[in-house]
Amino acid sequence: MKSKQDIDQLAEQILNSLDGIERAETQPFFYTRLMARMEGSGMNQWNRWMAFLSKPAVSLALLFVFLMINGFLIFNKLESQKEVSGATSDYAQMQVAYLDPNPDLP
Amino acid sequence: MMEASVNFISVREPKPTMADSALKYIPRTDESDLVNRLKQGDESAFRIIVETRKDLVYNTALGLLQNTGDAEDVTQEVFIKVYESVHQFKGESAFSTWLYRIAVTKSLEMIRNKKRKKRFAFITGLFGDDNEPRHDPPDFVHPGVQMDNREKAAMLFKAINKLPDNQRIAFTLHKVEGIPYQEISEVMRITVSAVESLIHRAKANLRKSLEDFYLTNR
Repeated sequence: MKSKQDIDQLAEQILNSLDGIERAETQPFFYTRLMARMEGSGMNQWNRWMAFLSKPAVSLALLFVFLMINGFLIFNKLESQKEVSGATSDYAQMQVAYLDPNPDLP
Repeated sequence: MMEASVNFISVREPKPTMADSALKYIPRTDESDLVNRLKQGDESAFRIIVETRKDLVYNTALGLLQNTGDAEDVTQEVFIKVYESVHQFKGESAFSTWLYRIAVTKSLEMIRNKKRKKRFAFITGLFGDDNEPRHDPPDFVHPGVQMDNREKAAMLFKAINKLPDNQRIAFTLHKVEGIPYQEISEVMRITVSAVESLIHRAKANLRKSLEDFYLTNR
């Protein structure tokens, strides 16, 4: 059974176990593999565009612009419908007034 | 007349091909010159950057990820990122600092992705084989650790895994990659005293974790 002092000493030794560590090295021909990945895994224009569009900030901004354009078009359509229906009702009133028999006449 | 002296650095390739032998000795070109050449699309500059800095990136990633395959993946991703966004490098910090920063960010991304995958492993496991290992990986042993320290270092790396991200980054950069506090502060974009504090807390947490392990197993 280890005493508290032994354990403290052991923990200290473990903490110092990385002293004198050497830098790990990549496997040979790393550059060749990197080039193969860059060429093979689609670093083409299309994939770059897709990667750019799939960023949350970009896709949210595009969605916002789409909704704004949609809202603007719907609002415009409603306005024009209101104007048309206003004009139609004016015309209808005129027609009614014209066709309405003169109440003064027998 | 004094001859202009040229410093050479060696690039270690165990089995060099004819093309690689040309890179055996690369003149120590000015870092900013290399970066400027890369910005202009010079592929030879990219190759020199990769060959001379690959171990720096790999060792950093390996220290954080504790897996050779993942570290190789992240190292490749780091250099792809360098190739794509070298225009964003303004030279405000050293190029190596920028590399360390990308390596740390990419490593953390991979750690988070793996954690996320692990969380949903049960559900994905229900829908067939996803080619992921089902067993716990063996203890990580860093290849650069001295032979007589390997067992202790494996325990230390296990304990490092339980540290919060900031403490793990600061401790690993300092202990595994041997970066001074000043450069760690530039990599992590915090003050030097904050780095000192992180490493101090990391050591305290590691000591406690190791002591707890021995107290429960004695």
